[in-house]
Amino acid sequence: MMVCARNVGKTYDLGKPVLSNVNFLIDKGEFVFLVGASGAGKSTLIKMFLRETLPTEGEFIINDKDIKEIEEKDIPMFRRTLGVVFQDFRLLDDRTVYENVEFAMIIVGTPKRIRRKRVPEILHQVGLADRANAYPDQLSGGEKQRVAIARAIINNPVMLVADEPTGNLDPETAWEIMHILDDINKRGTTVIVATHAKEIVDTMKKRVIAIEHGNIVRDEEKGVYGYDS
Amino acid sequence: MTRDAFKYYFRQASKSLKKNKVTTLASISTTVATLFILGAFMAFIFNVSYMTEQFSRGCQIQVFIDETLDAEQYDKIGDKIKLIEGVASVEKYTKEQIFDENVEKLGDKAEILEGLREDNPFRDSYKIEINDLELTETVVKALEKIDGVANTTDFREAAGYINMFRKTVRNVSIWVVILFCIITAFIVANAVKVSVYGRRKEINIMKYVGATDWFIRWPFVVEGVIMGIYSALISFAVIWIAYFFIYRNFSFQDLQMLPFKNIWWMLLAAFGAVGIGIGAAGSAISIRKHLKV
Ligand SMILES: Nc1ncnc2c1ncn2[C@@H]1O[C@H](COP(=O)(O)OP(=O)(O)O)[C@@H](O)[C@H]1O
Ligand SMILES: [Mg+2]
Repeated sequence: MMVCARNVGKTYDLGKPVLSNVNFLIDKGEFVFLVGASGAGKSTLIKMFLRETLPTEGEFIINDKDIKEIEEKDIPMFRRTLGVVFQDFRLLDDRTVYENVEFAMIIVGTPKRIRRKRVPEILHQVGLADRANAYPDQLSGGEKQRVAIARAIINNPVMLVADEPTGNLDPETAWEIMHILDDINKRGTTVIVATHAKEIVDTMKKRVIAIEHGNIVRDEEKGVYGYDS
Repeated sequence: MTRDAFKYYFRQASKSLKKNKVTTLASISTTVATLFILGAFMAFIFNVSYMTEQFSRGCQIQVFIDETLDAEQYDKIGDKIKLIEGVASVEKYTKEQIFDENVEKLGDKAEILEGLREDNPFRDSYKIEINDLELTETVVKALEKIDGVANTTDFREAAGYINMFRKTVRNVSIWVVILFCIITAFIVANAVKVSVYGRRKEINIMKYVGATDWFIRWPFVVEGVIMGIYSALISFAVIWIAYFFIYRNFSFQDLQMLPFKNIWWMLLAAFGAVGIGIGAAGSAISIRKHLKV
């Protein structure tokens, strides 16, 4: 999946621009960090990947299709090609780890036979094979985020979008999560991560797109977070 | 809808119903009350019809024949009466029979009449039974057109009252039931609203994973329908018991109530249809108002 932002601008009604003149091109299979201070506009940009919000200026093109042209009724099918992970995990508290992950497959209508095989595989991949029957409140933050990642990738998305996935985690756990994301990327999925985690960004040597006050100030391969964090 | 999906909807709906016990119980009990009222009206109307029928069986029209006619003409009038539409049976009731009946009625004082036996003051007549009390009016009109018919006695007035009563009850009950259905649908809608709010987080996640709008909506529809089915079953049981006691203690002249076995299926069908209808309407209201998918 290729993503192309062309002169993208976003202004929430009557406010000042949250994003302006944003340009980038992301190829299939890339791993991209989206960095910037709080309020810089990272989440707004992430929402465009999900077609949760539309640019008020320019074009945001995913797979040759301007997201403006994706109709309401086609959004569910569009979202099935993506996986998404949030800072706050968003797990269902009344369901086990297994059920939280299986949920994503039920929604897209995968038969039980396949679910029974696939869910344990994915749980194994994120290192939660032995926690299948635990409930979210019995899990650590890192484990919760692994469940969320498992849920995000179980339907084999072409692209995984993560908005501050390590924002609620201690540095060590954050590293574990980033390694899992890196692993997913190595298996072929495009991964976009909005983050604050300077050390990780600096160490991982991935492409970094830095945003400040709604503008892209830097876009470099094997980049670092920058000076101010 | 695949079986898997249906199972999922059903499980989610049951979970919500259990989790929001208070609103679930409130919905079910108001729906039961509404269905009970519906059932009571239905049972009442069925019984009024049934009793009217019994009553009209005992209601005969008596046709008196002009005393100047001879026996042969008397018979011919009988044949003509048989041809009138709505006439179930015709029975000769001669002036001698009438005389005897009156003698019997008077008992001790019968001597007063006995003197008149040779000069019988009564007229020959026919006793007529009709199929339906509502036909009284037309049958009587047809009878009066026959030559040689002197006069008739009938129950037109009583029949009119009963019919009017039956229609009034029916009309009033239709409106009362409709009103109650609307109120109940809103109470169900409130219950569904509570469960929509209870599952906001889940709905939000579902949207990110790519659930279709209907996949999100269905559990709430199922929830309303389940409440409807429970309500139908409960109100059926309640009305069965109530009917049993009324039936056992009913006594009005020598009229009979309809046995429950003659009406149970109509009640159950109506309860099922209205219960499910209310449930579905209630969830539809809530989904439209509160479930922005
Ligand atoms: N729905 C919204 N309506 C109005 N303003 C918003 C909305 N969402 C975000 N903003 C504003 O847009 C700016 C960028 O926010 P956001 O994209 O969340 O930044 P980040 O994720 O980098 O912290 C902020 O000033 C925020 O207040
Ligand atoms: Mg943000």
